[in-house]
Amino acid sequence: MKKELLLGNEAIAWGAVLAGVNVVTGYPGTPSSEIVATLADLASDYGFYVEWSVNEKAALEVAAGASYSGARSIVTMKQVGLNVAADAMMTLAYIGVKGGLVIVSADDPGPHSSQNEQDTRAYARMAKLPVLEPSDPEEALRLTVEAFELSEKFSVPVILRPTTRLCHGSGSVSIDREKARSNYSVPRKMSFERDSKWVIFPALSRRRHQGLWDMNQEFQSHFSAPPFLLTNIPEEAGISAGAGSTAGKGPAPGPGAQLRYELGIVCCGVSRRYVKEVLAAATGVAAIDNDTAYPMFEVAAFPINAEAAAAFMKRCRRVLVVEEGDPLLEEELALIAQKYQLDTVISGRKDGKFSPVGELNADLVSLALSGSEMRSTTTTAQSIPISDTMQQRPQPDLPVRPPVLCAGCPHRASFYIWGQAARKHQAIFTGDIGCYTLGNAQPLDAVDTCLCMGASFTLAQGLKLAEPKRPVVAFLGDSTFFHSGIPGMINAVFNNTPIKMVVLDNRTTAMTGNQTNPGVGQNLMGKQTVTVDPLAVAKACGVQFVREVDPFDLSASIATASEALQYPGPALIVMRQPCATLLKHTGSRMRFAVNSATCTNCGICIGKLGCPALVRKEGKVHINDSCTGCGICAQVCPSGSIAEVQAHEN
Amino acid sequence: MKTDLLIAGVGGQGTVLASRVIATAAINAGLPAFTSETIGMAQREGCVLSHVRIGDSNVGPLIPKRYAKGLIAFEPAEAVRAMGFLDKNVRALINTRPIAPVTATLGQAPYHFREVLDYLREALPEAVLVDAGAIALEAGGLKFTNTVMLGAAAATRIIDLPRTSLLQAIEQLVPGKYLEANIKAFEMGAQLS
Ligand code: SF4
Ligand code: SF4
Repeated sequence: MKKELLLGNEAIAWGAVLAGVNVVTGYPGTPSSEIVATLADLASDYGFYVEWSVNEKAALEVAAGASYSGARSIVTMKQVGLNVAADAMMTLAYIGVKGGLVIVSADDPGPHSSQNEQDTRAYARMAKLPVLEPSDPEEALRLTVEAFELSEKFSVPVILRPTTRLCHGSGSVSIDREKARSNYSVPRKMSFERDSKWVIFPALSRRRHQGLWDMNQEFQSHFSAPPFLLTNIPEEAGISAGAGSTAGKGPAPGPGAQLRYELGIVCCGVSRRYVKEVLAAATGVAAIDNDTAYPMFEVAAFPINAEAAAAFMKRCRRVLVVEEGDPLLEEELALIAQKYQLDTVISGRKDGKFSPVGELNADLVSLALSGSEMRSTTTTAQSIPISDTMQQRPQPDLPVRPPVLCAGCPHRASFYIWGQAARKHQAIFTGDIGCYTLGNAQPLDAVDTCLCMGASFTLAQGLKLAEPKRPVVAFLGDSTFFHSGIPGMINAVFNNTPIKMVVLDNRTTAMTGNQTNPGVGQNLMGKQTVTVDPLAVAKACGVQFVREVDPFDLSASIATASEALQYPGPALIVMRQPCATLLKHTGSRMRFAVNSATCTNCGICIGKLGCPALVRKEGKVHINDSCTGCGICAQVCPSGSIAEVQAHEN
Repeated sequence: MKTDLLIAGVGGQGTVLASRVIATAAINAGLPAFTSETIGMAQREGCVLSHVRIGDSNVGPLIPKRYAKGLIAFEPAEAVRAMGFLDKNVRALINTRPIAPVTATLGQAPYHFREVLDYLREALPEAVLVDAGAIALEAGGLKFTNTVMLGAAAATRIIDLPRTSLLQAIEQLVPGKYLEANIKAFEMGAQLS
């Protein structure tokens, strides 16, 4: 089979096809989004169903329903999405499934594109569900297939936990397309059989809870060999036990006694690759005193096998635990060591070998192995020479480059509008999760709070109750409105809390890569469908003041915003303009240019809008190639020096 | 061949496509390859880094500090930001066309462009500095910066892979209607250096 380059997320998607998946659901979220996107491209060809669901809870429940009937299903989300799906997952663990059900919850240590660093494995422990954690794209494909098998074998959902560097890293993988094809040649038999086991009741809960504890023992025994657990003791592998062996480092073992190693390494997920790279030493990065023969305990599945872990720790005076996320493996080993009365010293993120926060890399592993107790992110790379020329002079101060709203992003216009209409009244602006979080930067400075999906509408109500005189404006996007904004809106109406709710409707789910949502009129199967209009939803839910505006018409929008602020009750305003990145598909607008003859170089356009297409060229205000023609700079220019142009000078 | 290439740039410049082209070309040439990308919030004009690791299957997704043998920088300040990753014998290709962030345009944090260039000339005296932006505009727009840089990096052998593998990878990854323009941009880049 030919090798091809696949993202970790693409490999997971192919794993699902190789397992014969029937139903795919999910809610977009970095770093998980490409799994469903990849499956969507394959769905009609292979004959399975895909959807972007309205939120993660809906996604999991749809997948679970399909699985009750025997369908194989997969549901994907980012780690914080699991919070939304958790209500369903906690009890689904008790109820169980019929067709294999895999829950992919992608963690984002760092974090790179998330509001927190929560660890999916902690949820899995609470739900008592097994977790598989692949280390590279090839293994991701294989473990996804295994996850379906396990789920069906044990009749419980199985969690797959990739992390950012797996999701968004690629590697060479071979795909058995023939096998994938053959999965779909005979349709899977699906039928829901009525049975009281599908109905949770306190009496059943108790039984099932016991069942889960018992099953955990079975998972442990199942996870005692590859591909779930990979152990390597150098001497057993026929390698001379060099590194950290007792030679010179402790009492010599008696005749026939097993060697006790000074240090063993326990690792899981992407960290396994950091460890192997450092140990391969071929990199020259590792400043490790000895050769590479450390005992290794590589974990690809949880719960870990206690007996195997104890046997491993027995052979090591110390173990270093290398894991992304919280020190869960480290804690588990400590409990096992206590139970088996082992004196092995266990270190990792808890004792400062690694920082308890942030993601790992080979440099940090190298540093931890070199014996230093440092917590900082500096690395042993310091021991590698840099060239004289690199050392010659200090680096210049570099420009600060935070992510910004795109040129021509409609959110920029919306934030400018509300800034003009409301900030003079000391308004509070509550923000939400999406591209529009980037409205926090100067000069818009339009995000005073950001917590989680949908919280803008509800936080606003609390703020309003505490300070009734102060206007509170709550912003969220169209996809977020459908995800979890609607209950908050109803709460405002129900309790008559006069907040101003703004739906930034850019006709897509932009931050995660332009996924469809219920407001778009097309679903992921490519079918035309009902367009759910936030305006109609708001009216039906009893919001009395409901308006739609075009944010690129600044003066009309500012007038409507002012009217809404005057209105005594809750109000909802939809600011509707497509995302600038959609223009690629729909054809571009005219661009704008500055007339240098009349421009007074006052800089008001730049200072009020901060559009990345507005730059200074030899000191003069200039509009560059990235302009997408929203036209709002022309509206703020006091000298009327910005106008549409056909061709563009650069 | 075993090498590690770092691609540094600004979100929107097409670094992800560039790294996937290189890694696919490596696989086409029968070598193992891994990449790691910045996907997500930083793609909105933030700093992006792609790690491409070729010829060794025993490596992690990220290039360790001071270990990159090749640097392909789409933006000069981002080349400086990547310095910590570079091997002392690194071979570098740097696009000299700056992208001023909004923070600089607003006057919050200036972009000392001359200092950045002077520093790069001294710190990396062997680096190939090119105005890839100018060539890209000639080829049809700044969006071709990535293929221009690929062409130049192939011609300077910073990407030490057969030209045919690279062209084949471009064909595999670039959608049909943009293919011809991208191959032209690649060729123009190859002329650059
Ligand atoms: S019209 Fe003005 S504000 Fe809009 S994208 Fe172009 S430069 Fe930016
Ligand atoms: S606001 Fe108008 S007059 Fe002032 S610098 Fe900008 S383009 Fe020139």
